[in-house]
Amino acid sequence: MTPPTTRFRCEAARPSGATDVRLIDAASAAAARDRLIAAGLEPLTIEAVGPSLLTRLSELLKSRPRRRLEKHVLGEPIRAAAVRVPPRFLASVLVLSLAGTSCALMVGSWSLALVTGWKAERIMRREAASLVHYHERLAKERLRRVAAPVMTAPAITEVMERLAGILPPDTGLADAKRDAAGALTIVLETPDPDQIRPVFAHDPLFRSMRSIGQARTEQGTMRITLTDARR
Amino acid sequence: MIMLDRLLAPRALLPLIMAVALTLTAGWFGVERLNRERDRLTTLEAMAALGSRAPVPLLPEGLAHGGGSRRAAEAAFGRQIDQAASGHRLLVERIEQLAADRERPGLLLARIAVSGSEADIMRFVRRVESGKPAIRFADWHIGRTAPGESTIRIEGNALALWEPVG
Repeated sequence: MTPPTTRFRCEAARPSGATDVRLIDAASAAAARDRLIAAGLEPLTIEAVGPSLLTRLSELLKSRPRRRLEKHVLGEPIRAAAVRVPPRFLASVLVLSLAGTSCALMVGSWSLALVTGWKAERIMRREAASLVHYHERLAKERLRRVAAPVMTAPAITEVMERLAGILPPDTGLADAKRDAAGALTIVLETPDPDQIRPVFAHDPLFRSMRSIGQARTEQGTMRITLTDARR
Repeated sequence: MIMLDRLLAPRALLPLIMAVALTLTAGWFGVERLNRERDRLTTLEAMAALGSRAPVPLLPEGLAHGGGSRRAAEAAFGRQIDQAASGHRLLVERIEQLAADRERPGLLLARIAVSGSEADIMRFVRRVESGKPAIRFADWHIGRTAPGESTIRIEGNALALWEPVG
């Protein structure tokens, strides 16, 4: 156990002649003086300024009641007999808690369900117009899903005018179709299929088309089938 | 403790266990019902919130058949196609409006098969596609009526939209 110390305010001279002020915790003024000399300083004044903080803290701790520490850490272990609970009591607590929990579950869930149902009915009454609009909107969105691809796809006129603009003069359109999935298929008659590929490759509308078949006609031209359908 | 003793007596134990089992079962069904009601409430709230927003039109103004009834829109749609087909020396093989789709009452469809010279067919197609309200071919096929023939035929399904205002 450390002896109680006092804080001293000490003025001391260094070997160079400069003055130094230090706070030293020591048991007495003589001990503080010894520590200054040991540090190579020449004590000038030593003045007690009160017990150190460490001493105050240890005093404070000592003065506090130690009941709790003694009971749980320092005291004797708690004896089993002191906390023994009658099994009958335990059983009753168990049964009653189970009964209480199940009752609370039943009453709570049903009352919440009834309140939630009432809220739903209230929304159906108050927001009847919005709910009707919602169903109309739903039908409209279903329609949009079908109509938007058709309405935004290039029209027949656009496809034909574009083909007329890019096809070489000796190439003719034999057949064209767009299926329900939006895939465009074109059949061309040309004397030279190789001249078609670069023409289509440079047009944004037909760039994705690829040749899926070729056949020679009776007139000696080639019949090419092109499509942009996904494989 | 006297009450507890009575409650835990062997005679009372069986009814107690039965009561607990009953309340637990009722509680279980209550939770199930609560889940269903909460789902319904959440769905209704979302539907009401969506329904209260302003609808986004299907097409720009003037491009869909608006107002009136579907019957009026069907009549206008048929008239538009008939007018486009007339006066172009075309053979109208088929112009037939399809019945309404119950899930999409705003969809107007007509099956069309028309044949004639290439120039006349293209005039017909241009007139159909450039008119207002808008008509587009959902699927189409243009080809010769027979190998070696000069006349061509267009067949397909023309589509227009009926979008009631308000």
